[in-house]
Amino acid sequence: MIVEQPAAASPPGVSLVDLFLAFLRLGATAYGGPAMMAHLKAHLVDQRRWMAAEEFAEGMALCQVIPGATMVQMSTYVGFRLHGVSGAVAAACGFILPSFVAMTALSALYFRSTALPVIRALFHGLGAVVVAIVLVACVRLWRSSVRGWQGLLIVVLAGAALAWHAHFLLVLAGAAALALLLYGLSQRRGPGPEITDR
Amino acid sequence: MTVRAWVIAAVLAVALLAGPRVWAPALAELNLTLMKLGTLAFGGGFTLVPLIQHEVVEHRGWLTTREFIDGIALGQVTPGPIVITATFVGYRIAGLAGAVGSTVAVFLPSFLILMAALPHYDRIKRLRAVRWMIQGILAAFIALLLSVLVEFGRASLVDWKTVGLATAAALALWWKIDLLLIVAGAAIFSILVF
Repeated sequence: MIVEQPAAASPPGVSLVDLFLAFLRLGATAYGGPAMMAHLKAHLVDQRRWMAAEEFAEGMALCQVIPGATMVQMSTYVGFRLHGVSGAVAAACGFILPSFVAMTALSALYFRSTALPVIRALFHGLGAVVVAIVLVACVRLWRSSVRGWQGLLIVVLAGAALAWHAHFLLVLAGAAALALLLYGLSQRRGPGPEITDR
Repeated sequence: MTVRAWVIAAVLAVALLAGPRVWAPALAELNLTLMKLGTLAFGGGFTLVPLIQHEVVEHRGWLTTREFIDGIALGQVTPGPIVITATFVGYRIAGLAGAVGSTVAVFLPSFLILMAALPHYDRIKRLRAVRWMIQGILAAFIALLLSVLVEFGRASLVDWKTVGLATAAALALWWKIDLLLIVAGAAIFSILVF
C-alpha cells in the first residue's frame, strides 16, 4: 500500500480506492485532537509522499479559517488536491465512516440500556469528565483567540447578550461586526493587537 | 467544483430536508438545523457543542441536557471529530435513518464551504478583515461555551464526588494526559463508586 516515490505536486497513480482506504485507516485511529494532525501530516507527507509539506501547510491555514472539524476538512483538502472533487468525497467519507459506525453502534446500545444501574453509574461519572472537557476547551479557546481588550470586550458583550436571551445568530453576527470595527480602528491608529493563526 | 458537482450537492441537501418530511418530520427539521449549525462551527468543530446545546437541546428540546452530555461522552470514545455527536442526536430522533441523515447534514456545509473557498484561497488568506471577524466570532463562542459549562455543571456536578472527578479530569486534560486514559479511569471509578 505504501507508495514510495518522490514528493510531487500530484503524484500519479493515487486512485479513489487508495484515497478512501488510506483515510479510512486514519479515521479509525483518529484520537487525540491536535496530536492527530501531526500524525496525518507524517503519514501523508513523509510516509506516502502524496503531498509536499508546503501544500499541506497551506491547507492547514485555510482549514483553520473556515468552519468545520479541522481533521475532516484536511482530509477533504488532501483528497481534492490528489483527485479533484471525487477525491475530496472519497477522503472525507473514508475519514468519517469509522467514527460514524462507532457512534451509531454506541448510540443504539446507549438508548437500549439507559435503565441499567451500571450504565447509569457509568454516565453519572462520565458527565463530570464532559464538564472538564468543556472547561479545558473554553480555556484553550480563550488563550488562542481572545486578543487584546477588544477580544475581552466582545466576550463580555456576547455573554450579556446571551443572558438577555438574544438569538445566537445575532450574537455571532454582532461579534463579527464589532471585531471588524474594533480591530480595524486600532489597526489604523497603531500596531494594535497581533492577529495570528492559531 | 464543477456545475454537476454543485447540482449533486443541491439534490443531496434537498433530499435531506424534504425526504424525511413524510415519515419523520422532526428529522427534516433536525437536518435543517444541523446544516445551519455546520456552517457556523468556526474554530475547529468543538464550537458545535455550544451550538447544539443552544439550538437543539434548549430551543427545540429534542433531547435533554443529560442525554446530550452522555452523547458527548460517547463522542470521546469513538475516533474522529467531536462533530460526530450530531450522529447521536440524529439516532435519538429517528434511529438509523436519523443517524445517517444528521451525519451528512452536519458535514455537508463545511465540505461545500471548503470546495468554494479553495479557488479563492490566496485572496482569503490576505484578507485581514476575515481574520478579525473570525476572531470576534470565536470570542463570542467563549461566551456561548461558558453558558454551556454552567448548564452541564448543573446537570452533572451533583455532589462532591462528581466535583472531585471533574477537577481531576480537568487537571489531567490540562497536563495533556491521553483523553482515552482519562475516560477509562473515570469509567472504572464511576462503576465502583456510584
